[in-house]
Amino acid sequence: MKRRDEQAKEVTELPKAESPLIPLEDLLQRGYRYAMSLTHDQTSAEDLVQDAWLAILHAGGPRTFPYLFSSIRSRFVNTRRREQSVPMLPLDEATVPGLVNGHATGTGSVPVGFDRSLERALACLRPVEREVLFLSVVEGYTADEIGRLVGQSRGSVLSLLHRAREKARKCLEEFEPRIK
Amino acid sequence: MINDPLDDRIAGFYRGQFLSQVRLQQLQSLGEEHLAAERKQPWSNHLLLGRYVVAGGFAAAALILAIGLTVYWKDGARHSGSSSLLRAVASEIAMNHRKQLALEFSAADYRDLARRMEKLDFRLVAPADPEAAQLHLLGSRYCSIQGRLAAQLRLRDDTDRVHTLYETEASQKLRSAAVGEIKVANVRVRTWTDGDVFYGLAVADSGSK
Repeated sequence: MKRRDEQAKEVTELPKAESPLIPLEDLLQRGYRYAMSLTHDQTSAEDLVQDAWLAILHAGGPRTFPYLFSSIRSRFVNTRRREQSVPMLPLDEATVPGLVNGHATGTGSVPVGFDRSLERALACLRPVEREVLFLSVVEGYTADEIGRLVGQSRGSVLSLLHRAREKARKCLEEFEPRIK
Repeated sequence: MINDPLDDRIAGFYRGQFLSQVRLQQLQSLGEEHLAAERKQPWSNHLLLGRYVVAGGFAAAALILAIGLTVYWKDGARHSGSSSLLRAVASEIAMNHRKQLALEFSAADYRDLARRMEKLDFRLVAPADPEAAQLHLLGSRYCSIQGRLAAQLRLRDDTDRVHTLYETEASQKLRSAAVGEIKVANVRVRTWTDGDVFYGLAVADSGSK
């Protein structure tokens, strides 16, 4: 686990403070990928990034990854809350309605050479499961850092990560029986 | 511990996701516009907001102070004016009371006097004030108060003490400023208004003649 965390950090160091040197394109692309992990839909993710970005610009907020991620996350949760009446399920991990239930419904286009099997497997996951996977695997956040962002304890995040991986693996086996 | 192949696939999957060029350019141009606008401004939005708040606070405080001073000044001036006017009217009434000039009309009835004092530009009526109403009318003469034509009525009470009642039209100035009671040179003067008539009743203060 440590090794994976360290390797992920080498790829994308979690910014702790605002850096004025963050290229705008980098910020927006990473925000978009995070939004993709939540929505699993290209159009929705683009809209989400745009809303969050406009809000940051109007508020004069810091142009940092954590701030952008938080803005995207809060908008996603609010949108989901508006879109559907969510029953309060007694889940032991995330209890944010917009992130807990609902699988991906997007029909966004996919590029050529796209990992379609994984895309379908990720669609099996709940938004919160994709989110923690993304933050851990792609952004290199530690369980503590993910917990701070999503409002969960470190233990809950680790448990959620484990179950998300198992779920994704299981779904992948359905789409790719040969892969284990 | 070796890397989980699944994690590698997930990382590869998300790193292969990109904002469309159209949307990226839109968002970038929005950000650059905001950056350019911020550079043009000497202060950041927060500082500007803070300055607006401070300036607004000062403006509100100044406005409140100005209103307070104006009210205080006007109120003081009004009280000062009314006090000086009351004293002026009372002095005039007291002086006329002390002169005890000869009556021009002898009458015991107010309606009779009103009919005979035809120069008056107001309606002479019997006062409804309890103290004045119980006095016995002796007669009257023309006079003036603050330059206005008035009726000077002589009355006596049950102890034969002489009172002088003045009636004139209640101008706005008299109505608002000259109502009260004051003692001028051993003469007690009380003024009031009733309807369109201004009244002033003068009598020697107890202990003096």
